[in-house]
Amino acid sequence: MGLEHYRRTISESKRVSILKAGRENFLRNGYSRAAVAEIAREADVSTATLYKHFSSKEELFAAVIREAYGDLGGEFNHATEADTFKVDASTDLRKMFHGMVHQYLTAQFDHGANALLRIVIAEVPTTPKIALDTYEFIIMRRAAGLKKVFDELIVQKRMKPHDTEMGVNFIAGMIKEVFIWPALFDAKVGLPANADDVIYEAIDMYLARYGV
Amino acid sequence: MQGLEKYRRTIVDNKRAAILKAARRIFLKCGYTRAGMTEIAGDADVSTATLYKHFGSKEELFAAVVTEAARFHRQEFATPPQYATLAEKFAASMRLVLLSYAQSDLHVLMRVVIAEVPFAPDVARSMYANMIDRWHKGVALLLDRLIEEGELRPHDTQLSSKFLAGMVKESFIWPGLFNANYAVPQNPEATIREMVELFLTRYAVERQVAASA
Repeated sequence: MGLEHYRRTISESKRVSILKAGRENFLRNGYSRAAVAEIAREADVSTATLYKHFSSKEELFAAVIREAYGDLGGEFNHATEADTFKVDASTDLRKMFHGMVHQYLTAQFDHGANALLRIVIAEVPTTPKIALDTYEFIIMRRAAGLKKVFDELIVQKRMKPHDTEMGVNFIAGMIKEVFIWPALFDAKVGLPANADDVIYEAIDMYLARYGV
Repeated sequence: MQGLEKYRRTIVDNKRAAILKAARRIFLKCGYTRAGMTEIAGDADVSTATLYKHFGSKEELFAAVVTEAARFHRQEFATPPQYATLAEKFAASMRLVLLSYAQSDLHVLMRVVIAEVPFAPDVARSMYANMIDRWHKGVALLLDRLIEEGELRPHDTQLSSKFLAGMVKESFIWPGLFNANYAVPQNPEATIREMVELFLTRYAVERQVAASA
């Protein structure tokens, strides 16, 4: 039992160091130029061990993405649950939406997610499945979380009935155009100083039409 | 003399156009780093010397390909057709933006550029400045004019132009960044009309008057 536990711990810590080395290597070289043998060396494991954990470069890359976004996806999904952001008659919607957007942006900028996203986009022509999975796993899931909040607010009559799927695209688009896309094109771009003003302006636009 | 000069210029223009067309094709196929100037010249049926006479470097050539695509893109918003209402005018402009996006495959060019950010950062930065940011600024000028004309209330148009662009892109363009087989929806009309309403509810003077009446 103790031995089994020990083995599992070793295996788990190898997996973690492979993921870490993989992430660093992909960020440095992009997907096509990254080499599995080099990643194994940087993780201080044999290539055989690496392949035992991840059967291909594609699978390893997908795991790196999932790990990065698993964290923030988790945070975000959690955050959009009604038990975290309590939605009731007394909820200040402006503040709540601001908190959600702020959390998303912090995660996106602080976890190096922009750099990973850039790699995913770069590989669309060569490894289309990774890009599609990422799109489904991260972007669609996040959008679905926000849609749920809007739908709940409509039920509670805190917002006017509207096409919330469309609405999510609108507000996500406004936020991304200002913050994410400049960062995708320039690795040095960070969050601007007036981020809060921008977020509130987008929210106020949304509430001007759909608020009650 | 004049005829000969004109003939020469036509030849030069034709070659330039052929180079741009070939370059675009090769960049889309190979990406920026792997695209070779010799291959582009061959594809355009000109000598490498001629290519370099027109474009001093691969970077310059790529910038020209992007500018060419963006020029077409910008024109569409700058000359909105005459429509009776502000909402119709905006909707028409957004439709044109969408159409030009779809036709010029800008998102494919963007994918090429985004891929190169770690390796050719200046190319990406200048594409953002030449294409995306210039488009924002052009639209902001247009919005400023609508404020002067009393149609929109005074607001930060540098920001609201980005909001407009973001709504169109998130709804129609960005899925194509991730999915090579994505096609712009056949009937974007309802979405376009709603995003225009969202924008005008916040910024149009007539909506403010109607709301307070």
